[in-house]
Amino acid sequence: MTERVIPPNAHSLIGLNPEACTSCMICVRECPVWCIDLASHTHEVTEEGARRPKVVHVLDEFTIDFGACMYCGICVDVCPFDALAWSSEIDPSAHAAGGLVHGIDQLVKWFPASGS
Amino acid sequence: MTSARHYSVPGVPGLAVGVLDIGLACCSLEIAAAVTAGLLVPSDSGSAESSVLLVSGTVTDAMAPAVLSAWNALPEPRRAVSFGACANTGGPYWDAPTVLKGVDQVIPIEVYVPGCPPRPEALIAGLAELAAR
Amino acid sequence: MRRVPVSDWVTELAACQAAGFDCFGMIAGVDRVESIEVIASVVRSSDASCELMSTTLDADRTVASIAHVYTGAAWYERELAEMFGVLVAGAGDDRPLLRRTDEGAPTLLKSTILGARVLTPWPGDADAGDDAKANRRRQRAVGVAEGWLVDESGSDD
Repeated sequence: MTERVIPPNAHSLIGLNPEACTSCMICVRECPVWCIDLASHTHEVTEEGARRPKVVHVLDEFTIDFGACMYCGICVDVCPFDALAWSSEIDPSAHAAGGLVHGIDQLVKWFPASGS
Repeated sequence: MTSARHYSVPGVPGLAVGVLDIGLACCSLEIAAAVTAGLLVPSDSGSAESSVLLVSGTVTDAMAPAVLSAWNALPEPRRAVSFGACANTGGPYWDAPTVLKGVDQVIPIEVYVPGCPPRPEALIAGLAELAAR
Repeated sequence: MRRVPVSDWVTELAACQAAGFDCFGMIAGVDRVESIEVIASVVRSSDASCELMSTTLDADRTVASIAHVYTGAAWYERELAEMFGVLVAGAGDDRPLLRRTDEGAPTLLKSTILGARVLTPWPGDADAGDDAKANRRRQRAVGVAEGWLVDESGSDD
């Protein structure tokens, strides 16, 4: 019998790279259980030599409710910018269901260093 | 149904628990996986410090009274762990009118283990969290 | 999959059992919007072959029970009655499986509104950036069917 190895990131956490996120909302809208929340604002940046200022989105908040998350990975798959990735960290428990909601500070730590 | 099985947890030295596992859906398989992986070791000693009710899976309105009676039948000191998205919040079935938005609507939960399903390692982390309280 | 008239439902499944299909698989309802389809599967354990049979219910949404042919069908017929609003004629057991009140519509019909999806604010409603919101046509949330969110003027949201 061949030994079956479970990949360390199978059904584990999902991490966020906020630098790559453009606040496009695709992951939020595709999530079947509505467990991702995102807030952003727009900001005008005038680059040197540019005729017009360009509008950039600034990510303010990004949370995943791992209490509701079904770990389907749709958000990871649909992100056009690879800002979401499977982590191999073990999911931390909480003392309240609301404690399973994690924001940018935590999600960035779970983003794998070299992609997944 | 309401007799707890005793386990030692190699990853959490000193922890001996009597676990009554109410497996209501697919993630209860992960508890069996924790046993076969040696993360939970069945013991005959019976000297558990406390009884732990481990609820995994979808708790429907129809099943809620059975969960409550299992909890009430568990000897003190007793503690309850919610395992997986369904038991935590309703999970994928949060929109179903026949499903509880979390088992904590019927029994007091001390530790919530996230996952859909949680990995066996997450169960051990949750039990360690329970032991640390 | 074999399609049979609803009037032949019981005789066709009895014929299956006579032909050696000794294991009952399942019955599933399918909401085709204009009608309800009922599908049954039975298995012959000697060669593991499976027979799938389908029937489309008339407007009265009634199908005869096959529980006297396959005992295991009783549980699925309860599900069919409770979740698809199907009248299973001759079923000995019509207790609901999951619903504990008589309120609300059969839960698996497409026309049944999932209140939680309507009452819970959809996080996807917010637009990227806070100022573009007013200009964008709102899109429908995942899991919310057309017609669920109707504003007071009566237009579909």
